[in-house]
Amino acid sequence: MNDLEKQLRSAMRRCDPPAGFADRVMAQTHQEAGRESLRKIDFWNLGPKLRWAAIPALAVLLVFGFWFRTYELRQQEKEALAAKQQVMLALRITGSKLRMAKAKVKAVEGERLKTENTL
Amino acid sequence: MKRIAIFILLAGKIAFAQEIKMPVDLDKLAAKASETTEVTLNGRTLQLAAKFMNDEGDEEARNIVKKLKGIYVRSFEFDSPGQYSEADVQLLRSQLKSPIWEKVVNVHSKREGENAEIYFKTDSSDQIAGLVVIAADPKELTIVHIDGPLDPSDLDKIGGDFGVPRVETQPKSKPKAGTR
Repeated sequence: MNDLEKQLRSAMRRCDPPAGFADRVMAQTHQEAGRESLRKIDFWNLGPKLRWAAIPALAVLLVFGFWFRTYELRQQEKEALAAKQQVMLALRITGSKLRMAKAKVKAVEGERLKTENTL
Repeated sequence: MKRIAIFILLAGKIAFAQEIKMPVDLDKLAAKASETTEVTLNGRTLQLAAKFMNDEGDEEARNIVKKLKGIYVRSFEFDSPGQYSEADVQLLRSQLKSPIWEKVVNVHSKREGENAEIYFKTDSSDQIAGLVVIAADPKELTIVHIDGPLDPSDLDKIGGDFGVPRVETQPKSKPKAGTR
């Protein structure tokens, strides 16, 4: 047996791992898995496909929000215009009745004055 | 003494807060009427309408409307006389009591059968805080209730804005014309 063989035999001899080696390996493995799952829910680390899908979704949300606001404003405007017509109608009716009452008062006053003059 | 003062204050407050309620029976008249006009506008709706009164000629109406708390109109036109009774308006009339309400015009025309009553609600500072008009002829009954501050110039505008001559009113004077 030459020196080389001796060195090889010594290097490749069976020996037990140091105490706690298995536990340390397992702990390290769990830690890596945890980091991986965190990376998955991070928006900026989404895969490129998912990232591109999120942009149209946001755009749809924005468009829907804008449409809903416009719809709301239009409804409000319709309601206001209907209310305005009702207001004008109510004022017209009130005005005509006030004029009628005024005319009656004037007529009565006129008649009274006429009676007083004839007396 | 203090208690009496508080009681008077509370009574006054309750009295001024009193709202006019359109009698339910009035709505039954709609079934008999050939034409019915019903307008119910609360403060919120009036404020909304005022925001959109931007057309030419709307300014006067807007200035009146934006101060108001409510406008309520019930108008019934009938094909033949005798479709409504005095009792139909009596319930409303009974709410219009002194000192809050003052009847400023009361015209009864036996010849034409036309009646017109105008009531003003006055607040503690003697300003007009509401108006009720009851106009009745054999084939028509109209009740108008305007809730909110009005000044004599507003009445001029309402009376003359939408047609012909304006109602001539003078500030601080309330013509009392009770003729029968």
